[in-house]
Amino acid sequence: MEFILNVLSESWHLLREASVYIIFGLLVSGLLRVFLNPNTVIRHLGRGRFSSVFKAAFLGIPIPL
Amino acid sequence: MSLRKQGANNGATTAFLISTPESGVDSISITYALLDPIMTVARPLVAFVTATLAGIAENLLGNSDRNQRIIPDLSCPVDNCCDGQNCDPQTHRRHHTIFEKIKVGVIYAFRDLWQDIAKWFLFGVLLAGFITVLIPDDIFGRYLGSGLSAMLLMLAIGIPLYICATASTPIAAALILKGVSPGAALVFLLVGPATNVASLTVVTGILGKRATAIYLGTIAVSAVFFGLVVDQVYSQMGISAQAMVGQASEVIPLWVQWAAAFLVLALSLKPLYRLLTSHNIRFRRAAATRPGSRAAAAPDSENGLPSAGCGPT
Repeated sequence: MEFILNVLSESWHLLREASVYIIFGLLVSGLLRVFLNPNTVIRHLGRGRFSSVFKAAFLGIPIPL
Repeated sequence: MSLRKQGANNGATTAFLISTPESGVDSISITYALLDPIMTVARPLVAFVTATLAGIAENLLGNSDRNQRIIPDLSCPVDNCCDGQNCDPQTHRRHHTIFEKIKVGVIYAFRDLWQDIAKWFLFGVLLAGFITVLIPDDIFGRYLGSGLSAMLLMLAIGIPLYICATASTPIAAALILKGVSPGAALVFLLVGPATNVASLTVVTGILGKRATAIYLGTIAVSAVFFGLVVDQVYSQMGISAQAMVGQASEVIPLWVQWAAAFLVLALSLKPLYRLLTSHNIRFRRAAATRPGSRAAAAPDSENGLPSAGCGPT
């Protein structure tokens, strides 16, 4: 019992530390989805051997899964 | 997998498939909260380099085949009012006011996005709690805490593991507190989300076996390499990752932390409830079909992106 309480207390501590940043991260992700114009994104991807890869990698960084 | 269907080449698709699960705005933000500023920069940076390397390797070594015409998905993200094919971009952009867009973005963030992440994140937090309580403080310091062997151990754990970037962060924080080097933790953070048996199967389906080998090889080699680099950075700067973990939240007043934690839990109620009920249904269905045992053996077909442990179950 004490063990479970210890685990929950540690978990709660982590959750408390993370929560403000979770909310911030979710908000930015949500706004990104609405305001990022897919047209521009795909057009920039293009077909180059290197540039398309570069852009696709960069594009994937902020997108959450 | 809309990118490949829209006609991006194999390399660009590979790059996108690596950088998307390995990092996102949400996981970057949580890394800042639970780890430290160095890891917050290192994680997306290394993800970007890994994705680029794998994509270029794919385009140079792989067999470059059909690259279809690019048809971007322009459908309106606010309410699907139009598909954007028949109106010019200027008009298309003005279908909705900025407030409508913000509202939809916020709803998407807290309902759809968090719904996918919530259970995995809470699982990660609980697992981190277990690690903190269960594992003796000095065990990693003494054995397998740093160096190449620790990186390889993290590879062995991370490759089959099914966990997303956000959910892996509290686990990495717990490991660092137990003396795992930041570089080894970075290997776990990079490999955990980018690879698992399910996602590799999906990648094989989309890109083929050869591309999958390139994908996996580049991720593993680059994760270990950058893990060693990050350990060097910490030791050169004389910084202890163990001491830095979780300092970002200290600037936030306690009552804000509590309020935010309760808000996050409140937002998680619905996804958790759904998780419980859906498992219940599945269990009952399995029980009902057990005598015949044919229907139970057919799982829902996977047709989306590899969900990296954060997708809907």
